[in-house]
Amino acid sequence: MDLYIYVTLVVLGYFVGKSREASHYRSIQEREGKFASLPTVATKKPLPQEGELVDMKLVSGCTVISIDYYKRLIAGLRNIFGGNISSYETLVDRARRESVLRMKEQCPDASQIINLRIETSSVFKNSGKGSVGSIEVIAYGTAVIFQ
Amino acid sequence: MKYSGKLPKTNVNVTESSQVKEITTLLVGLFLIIFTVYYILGLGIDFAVEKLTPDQERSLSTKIGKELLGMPRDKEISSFLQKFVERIQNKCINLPFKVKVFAVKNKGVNAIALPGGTIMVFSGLLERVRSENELTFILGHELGHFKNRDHLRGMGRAILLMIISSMLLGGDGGVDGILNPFLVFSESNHSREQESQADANALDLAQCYYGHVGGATDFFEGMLKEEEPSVFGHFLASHPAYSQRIIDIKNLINKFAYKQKAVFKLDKNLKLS
Repeated sequence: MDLYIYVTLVVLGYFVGKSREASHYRSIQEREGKFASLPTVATKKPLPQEGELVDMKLVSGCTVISIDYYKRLIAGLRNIFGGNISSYETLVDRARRESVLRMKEQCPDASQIINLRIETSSVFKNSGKGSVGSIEVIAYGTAVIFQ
Repeated sequence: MKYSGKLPKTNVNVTESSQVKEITTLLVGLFLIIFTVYYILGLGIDFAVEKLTPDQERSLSTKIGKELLGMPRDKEISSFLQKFVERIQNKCINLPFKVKVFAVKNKGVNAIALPGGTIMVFSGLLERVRSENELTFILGHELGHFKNRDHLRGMGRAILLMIISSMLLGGDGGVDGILNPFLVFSESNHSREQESQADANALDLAQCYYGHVGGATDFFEGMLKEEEPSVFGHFLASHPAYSQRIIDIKNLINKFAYKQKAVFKLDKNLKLS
């Protein structure tokens, strides 16, 4: 009986997870296009720009994304054989890009975002022991506004 | 320098690969490795079991069967069964040790052959037995396990199974969830062969004891009416389906041209139902 439940969860994880991932990527790409002209850099000083610096503030964006049973199964198998855990790559990629986007959305008037930092942590560490793990990514930086 | 806000055309951070293909390759690889290890170590257990002396067996049983041996017993029925098995053992089966029988107060319909020559008969099973011949067949089945040393093979493989699934796969993100049932299936398939062999032994024993095999299938026919798991549910069962056992036993009866005569009534001490 346990096997049927488990297989159902894995199949569900595959189809639902895949469709949600695809729609999330569509949304990320669309919003990234919108903010493409906003310079976002890791330098501590603003890029040279005309006009007077009128305001600057801390902006941050945070995302938590959960894995599903299908991703967990692949990762579990990879734990035995080693190699690239491709199922987690999309997870981390989505979380990182979503966080940066949320950070940018916090200050739509910004001329630049400088001093960008990205940090990550896992929210459920014991993903192997029954519970499903998830990843948190926080992106923060300084939004500067020129007149 | 002017800032140009161009987005990258490809995503270098995500590997473009078919996940279904990946999971299939990994699972097939894992199954191959596990079954090879299980098969080779299983052969090792079969080899070791042949070399084990009755004394070593007894010491193993006290260590491992503690929980089962500690279950509440029915003294009167135990002593009746003990005498009965002694009569069967003296007349019809040659074992290197004296078999001990206990009637256990438990509703489960089961009888277990433990290492060290101990048979535990559950009261749930005794309640369903209607003739002495049925009882002889059940006890003969367990004695058959001793003859084939299945109790040791079974225990060895069960331990092996536990070690493989917990040490190799423990806490690695759910792989054990998909693998364990298949390991158990392989194990139960192995034990189903043993059960069929023990049924054949029981039939020979009934023929030796009574001179006929009347009532050999009665118990299973009774159980068949009571509960027959679905084909799906039987996938992982350790014993063959009752209907299959009845067919197998009848085939053996025809093959050896055993006669079937009237069955003996059950001793009144044993009438639980």
